[in-house]
Amino acid sequence: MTDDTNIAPPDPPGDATASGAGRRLPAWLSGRAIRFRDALTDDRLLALLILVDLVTLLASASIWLALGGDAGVVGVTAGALLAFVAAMLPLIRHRDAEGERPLWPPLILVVIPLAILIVGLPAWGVWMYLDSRPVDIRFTLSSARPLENGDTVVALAHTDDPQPRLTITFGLTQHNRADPLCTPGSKLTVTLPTGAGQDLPQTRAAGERFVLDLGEGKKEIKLSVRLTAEQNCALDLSVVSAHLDG
Amino acid sequence: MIHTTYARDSRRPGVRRPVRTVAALLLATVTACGPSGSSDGKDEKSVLHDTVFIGGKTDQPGFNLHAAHTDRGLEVDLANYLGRELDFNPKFHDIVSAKREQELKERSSTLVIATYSITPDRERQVDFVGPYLVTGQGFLIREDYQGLKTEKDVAGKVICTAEGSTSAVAQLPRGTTRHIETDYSTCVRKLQAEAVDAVFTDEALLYGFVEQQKNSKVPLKVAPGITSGQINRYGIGLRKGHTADCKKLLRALRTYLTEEWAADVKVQLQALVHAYPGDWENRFRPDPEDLNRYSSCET
Repeated sequence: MTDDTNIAPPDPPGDATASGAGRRLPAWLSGRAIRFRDALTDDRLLALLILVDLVTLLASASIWLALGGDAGVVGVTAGALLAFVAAMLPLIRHRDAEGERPLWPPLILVVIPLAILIVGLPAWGVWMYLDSRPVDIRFTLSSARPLENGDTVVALAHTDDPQPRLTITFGLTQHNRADPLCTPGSKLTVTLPTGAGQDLPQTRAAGERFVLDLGEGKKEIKLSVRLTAEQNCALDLSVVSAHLDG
Repeated sequence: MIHTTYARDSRRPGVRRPVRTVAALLLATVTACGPSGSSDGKDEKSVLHDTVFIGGKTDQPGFNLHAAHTDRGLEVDLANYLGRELDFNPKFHDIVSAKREQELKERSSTLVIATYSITPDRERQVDFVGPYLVTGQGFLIREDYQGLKTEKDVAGKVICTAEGSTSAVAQLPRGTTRHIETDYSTCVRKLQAEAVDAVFTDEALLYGFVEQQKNSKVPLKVAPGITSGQINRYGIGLRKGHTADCKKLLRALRTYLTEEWAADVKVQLQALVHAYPGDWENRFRPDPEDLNRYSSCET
């Protein structure tokens, strides 16, 4: 015999008073939580949700690492989240004293990937934007004395934000301004002595842009700059602008 | 200053009108200056009409020599060509190297065509159209002089150059004594009088003196193979602020270089042509691209 008086009638969907957990939640949320919890009785949906969690977690950890994240921090964070997901599995099947399954463990499975995406996607977008902007870089020249035809100087720069492409413009000014004008006929030849990319020399007039392919991850940049000028034409070399970009 | 005061006071009733007046005046000024096309917004009206006074060095054979009431030389031919093309009457008067910028700034000359090398310092003060001739620098010596055969021989010699020229500031070997005169014809007289060992200036200019003095008691020659200093490019100087005139001169000069330059050089600088048979055009004629690179009105 079954004592019908001891059996609680099934909670109507969306009824906040239907369970202990539901009583602590606003009506709109508890209704959805209950529907979601009930849907998770289907093992295929539960497996899919866990798969989504795993993919989101592992993909985010990989991207974080690739962008230069500390391996220890990435590992601990991803591990903790994975453990948290795993801990939800027995709780999803758990029933309380009233025979109700708790509402929050299934929600956690949704909240974790959502939280990662909400935080991660904007952060990734900002990073991409900042990374795509040119980064100014300061070069030092190996010699400050005036250059004449055939002279070569080395331009050196260090960057903590390596980018694959360097755009640099040199300036040439006449060392003695009373001498006949000779800058217009002068040319500069720039070579990447240890170039990872194009190390073919480029020759241009002062004031024109040199675009050099540095290759990936180059923090120390070394350029060889050779002057071609008329006889006895003494010129001062300077770097007008230099920036790195992708 | 006045504008700022009015702007601050404009909140008070009755003071708005001066602000509007000043704004209108400013707008009118800007509008009036707008179409000039000059880099500093002030392109003065053309000065290339009627009689144009040209500062020249009228004691430089081959380029400009005033003798028997007549001016002769490459620069005279150039000025006449420009006059024909741009419809003005060129009139030369004598100036010295050191005062060429002053001539233009003080409006004593409208143009300077006077073996006037384009330099950064001069470009700050005047505009240039050119070059119309390119030349290295060399040493003029007496034909029988044996003391200058290699570049090393220059050290220890007394070398004459003209005040205000690029040769006067060019580097010469240590131990060289530089003797500065106001013009090169004085240097040449001193060379013939053996008061100096050589005259140092632009090679093209030196060949003019060689030609002039070839039948004198003391003929001269350019020391073969000895050069010093930089390459000089002669430009036509004009006062800043005449961009339209600068461009007119540039167009006319471009035509001159292709149409008449070679014939004029052959006539006026015969010693130079004989010194470099078959090669003188390559050495002394400017590259047409140089006109864009060295003329002030194209930058």
